[in-house]
Amino acid sequence: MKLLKLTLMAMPLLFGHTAIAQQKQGSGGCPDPYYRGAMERTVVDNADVRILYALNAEDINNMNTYIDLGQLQIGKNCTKYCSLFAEEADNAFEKWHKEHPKASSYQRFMGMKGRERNTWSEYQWSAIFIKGDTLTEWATMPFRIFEHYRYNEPFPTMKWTLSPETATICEHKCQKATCHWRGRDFVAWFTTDIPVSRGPWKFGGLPGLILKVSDSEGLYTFEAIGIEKGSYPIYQYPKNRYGNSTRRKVWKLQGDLNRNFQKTIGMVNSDTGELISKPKPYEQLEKE
Amino acid sequence: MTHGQTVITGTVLNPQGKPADAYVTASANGSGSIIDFADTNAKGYYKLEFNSQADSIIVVVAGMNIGRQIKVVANRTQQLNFKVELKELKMKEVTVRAQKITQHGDTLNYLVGAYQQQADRTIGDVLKRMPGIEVADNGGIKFNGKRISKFYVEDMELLAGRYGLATNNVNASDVAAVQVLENHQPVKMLHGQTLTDDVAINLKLKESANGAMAINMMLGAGVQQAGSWHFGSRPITDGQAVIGQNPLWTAEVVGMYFGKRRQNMTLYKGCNTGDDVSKELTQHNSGINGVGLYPFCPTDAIMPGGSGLPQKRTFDNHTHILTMNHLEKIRDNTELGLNIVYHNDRIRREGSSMGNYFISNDSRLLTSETMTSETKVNNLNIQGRYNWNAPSGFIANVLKFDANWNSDRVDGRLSSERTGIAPINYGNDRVRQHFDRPQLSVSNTFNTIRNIGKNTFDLHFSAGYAQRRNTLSVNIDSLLRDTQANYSQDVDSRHIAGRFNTSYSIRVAKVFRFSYGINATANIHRIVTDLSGFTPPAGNPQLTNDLWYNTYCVALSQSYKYEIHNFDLTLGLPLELYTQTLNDKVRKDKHGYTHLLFSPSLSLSWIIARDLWFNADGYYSKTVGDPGGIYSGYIMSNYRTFQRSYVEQLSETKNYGANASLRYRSAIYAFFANVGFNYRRAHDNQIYGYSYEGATSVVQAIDRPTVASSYGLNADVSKGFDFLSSTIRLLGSYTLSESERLIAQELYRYHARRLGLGGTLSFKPFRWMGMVYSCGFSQSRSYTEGNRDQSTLVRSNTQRLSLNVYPTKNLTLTLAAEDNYNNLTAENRHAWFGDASAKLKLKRVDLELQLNNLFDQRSYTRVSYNGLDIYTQTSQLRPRNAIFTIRFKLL
Repeated sequence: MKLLKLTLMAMPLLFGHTAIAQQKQGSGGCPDPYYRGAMERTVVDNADVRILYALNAEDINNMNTYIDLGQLQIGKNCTKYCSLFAEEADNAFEKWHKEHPKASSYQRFMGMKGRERNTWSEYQWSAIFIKGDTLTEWATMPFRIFEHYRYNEPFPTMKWTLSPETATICEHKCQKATCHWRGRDFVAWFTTDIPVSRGPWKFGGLPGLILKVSDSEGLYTFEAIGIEKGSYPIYQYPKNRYGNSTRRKVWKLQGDLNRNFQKTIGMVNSDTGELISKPKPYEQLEKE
Repeated sequence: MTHGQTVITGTVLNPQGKPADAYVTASANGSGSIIDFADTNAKGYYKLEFNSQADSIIVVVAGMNIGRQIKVVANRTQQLNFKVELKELKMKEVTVRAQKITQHGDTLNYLVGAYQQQADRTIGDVLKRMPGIEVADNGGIKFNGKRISKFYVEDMELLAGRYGLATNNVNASDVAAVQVLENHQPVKMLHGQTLTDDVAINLKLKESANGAMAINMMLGAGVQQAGSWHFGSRPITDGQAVIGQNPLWTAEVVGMYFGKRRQNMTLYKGCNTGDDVSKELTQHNSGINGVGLYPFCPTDAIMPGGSGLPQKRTFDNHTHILTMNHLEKIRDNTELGLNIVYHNDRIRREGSSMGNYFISNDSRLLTSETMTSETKVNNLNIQGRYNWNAPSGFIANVLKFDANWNSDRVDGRLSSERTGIAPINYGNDRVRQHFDRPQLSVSNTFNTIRNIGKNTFDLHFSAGYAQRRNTLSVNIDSLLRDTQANYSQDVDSRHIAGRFNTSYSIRVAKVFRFSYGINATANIHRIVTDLSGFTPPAGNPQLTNDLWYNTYCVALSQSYKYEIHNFDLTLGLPLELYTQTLNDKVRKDKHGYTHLLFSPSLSLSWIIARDLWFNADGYYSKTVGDPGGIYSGYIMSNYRTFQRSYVEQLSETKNYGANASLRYRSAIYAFFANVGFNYRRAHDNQIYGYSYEGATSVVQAIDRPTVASSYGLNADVSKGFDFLSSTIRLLGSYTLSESERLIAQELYRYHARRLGLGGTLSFKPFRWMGMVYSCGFSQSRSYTEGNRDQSTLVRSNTQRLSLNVYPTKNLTLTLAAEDNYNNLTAENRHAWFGDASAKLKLKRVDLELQLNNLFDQRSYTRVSYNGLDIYTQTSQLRPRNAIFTIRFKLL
């Protein structure tokens, strides 16, 4: 009986871990810094505040166990959510490239990466700009195989239901809110201490900053680990490297790259001439 | 009363009546939970709709630029307008919990603040607490078992390898982070092209220390329990006199400037307290591979052996060091550096030694010697550097000048006897030695590297000259036989050396790199020696040498490297044409040898995972000729050893070796580990034979092949914990060696095994207390084949506990106790030492009172045994003493 109990207790741990591990997978590697435009970035705004979020942390105190360290920059004219790991890598590459203008090769990624560090994920490699009611996703694709894309959509309307439960997250008192959005149920914890109707990724629409948000299956969890004041330039990649597209096309491509990378990029078996297919199960954050 | 749906509407406007961007929330009074919210539209209008049983409602208007406005209203449908002013919202900042060690690519950043404790003054004190970093007694730094190749302050190499000056003088509180740079490539143009597995350290200073001039001063005085009050030099005594003399004094002035374009460190330190301040001048690595200069001189004085205790307890010194180091960045990639070092010392040591030497299986030689020595040191070293290190090219030039005027004066008594079937007492001798050993050397090294397309061209040229004209004079009064002997050995030795290397590497098919080079070296030695007073054994009456001994070598170096991102394999196949000429003007003999030598090597480096590396290498090499085997006239090595080592056949040594190491490091878990294995085997065609005439040994090289081999295994693990701010380090080593010795025409095969274990634990059990416990244990057994059962196990332990107590933020009390144990010592097997200090930090000055050798140990004996001979060394120690110092900032 005791053994059974232990097994039952262990099961959610095992499955929980497996489910999380799926969220950064596939064969897509880090995008090439040169081709994503790390050298040609422009500063479009400046943020006085930035909020750092851990994505799917195994140990919240250890950045190497995150899938990503995200940052929400609150600028004067816009807000931007992007990966801080990726931005630091861009900065390091830009500095390195200036110091070594004649170098014939370069490191694809410099700096901290988190776990599953060599694998591409759209939640690490897309930047979400919100200006007024318009959301723009700048979607960087793996390696240098594809074009990168950008599209606009209206800032999503999430119908939040407030709940009286409270919790302290990142030293701020937060209130619980739930919603059903694009096929999933989400729980968010927001604080009115910071009256910004934003959060990580595309989340927002609450009367205060979202410090933690996760889906009901526990596949994706963003949790704030720091709120910093300072002067943080908001960078934008060059438009000519990011072709215009639509949300649906980008969303489908991102899903396909995770579900069957080889088939999506059209990899062919040189002996048989057949398309290589190595499907893997994958759950996107937005189901629809 | 029951409430239906409540609707609150209104506007949020600024003082000018314009709509404000805000969020409006409603919560029931007393609950704190928001029940509805809305944001204002373009006209500043909002609408809240909710059901609540509360009597009153709190409506809050907030925005990043308008602050927060709260109104408590009755729970009923109403209009509620807000007028807000431009006001920045006050927000609580939450800083990310800083990790003590962070990793960015090949750089590990150790936060100094996370490791610094109240007792730590210099960055060297903090480095010792950082997991993975090891600071040796001589100041040398290793990272995860690997010696560092460069030491930078703010990315500039001011000290040209003498980094003890930085670790012992830069204030820990001025350093933000210690950066460990792995796979460090100091040549900018080779970044990303030529990988190295070198490790470097860079100190990142705090903004406040960057570009700021600092001058720190320390003055101190003290007394010791015994030892007369005396200024200046003292006469040589019988080896039992007290170490040190009153009054004790210590002083230092340190000036530092670390800017972006200019760095300077100038300091003076002096003391007579035994502190080895000259250790800071040790050159741990030279920036550029210079030519080796070694004017041949096999002569030395016999000094009190020392018991292995730190110099602080055994030296009676008068030390002065003065150094000026300056680095100027004249352009972005161009640096000029000047390093001047002067060291003046008068070191007196007192001690006795007993030797029990193996002569044959039934006969031993027993010697007992009591000695006092005084060494005068005057060393001047000047080094000028030019460095152009740009992404497009590299040029470096180093000019070095060294002048040393050193001498040793030793006075001792020697008694010796031979035991066995025919015992002989050789009586008591009074021995006075004076060794005058000046040396002068000058050298220049030039290196340039250029890229030609994808290929790299490297040119290296170094040349130098050194000379020494040394004299060892010995006077022996034989007290038993009432005879006197005077020996005098003159050695006039000059060495001219030149080295030229050039290499060209070609990249083939992205994964191969082939390097070819020409290396040429020339060494010209002129050796003139003259020995007087010695009566040589019959048959070899020659007491002078007059030699030209030259070696020339031209080598074609070739290496073939296969490299992919985590693996590289290098095959080295150098071919060397080696010529040696000897012109013996005394014997009027002139001859030369030429050999073709081949020294293949294979090495591999594999990055198994991000934090795990494996390295292995194997080599074979053959060396011929040895200046130790060229002189036919006797030379006095010391007053007990007279050596001639001329053999007709050139000495030949074949060396085989292999090394393997596995290293792991994890910044995030502050865990560092390495384990290594090494193997060496040497085949020599000659062996040195020993024979004894009284207490004097005569050594001759003899044509007889000999083999020596050794195996070694070592491991080192360290880990830092957040718990109690602790760091733990464990290390172990095991070596096994075999060699041969020829004594009185008899060959003895000789085995030695040694096991060493040690560890350090540093932790902070309370906020007001820090502790460091370290211990070391070694056990060795040495024996010759045949006497294994009679061999003695030698065991020694040391342990040290140091306790820092911080009663207030400004006061640090330190207590340290140390035990040294040796199982062969007849008396006092455990020698305990105790030291204490109190440091008080005031606004402008730091005061310190040190009490050393609390248990007043006056002498310490160490016994060592190498399987054949037993040595017993006793050092006189500095008695209990107290020193008071005051430290302050002049600027």
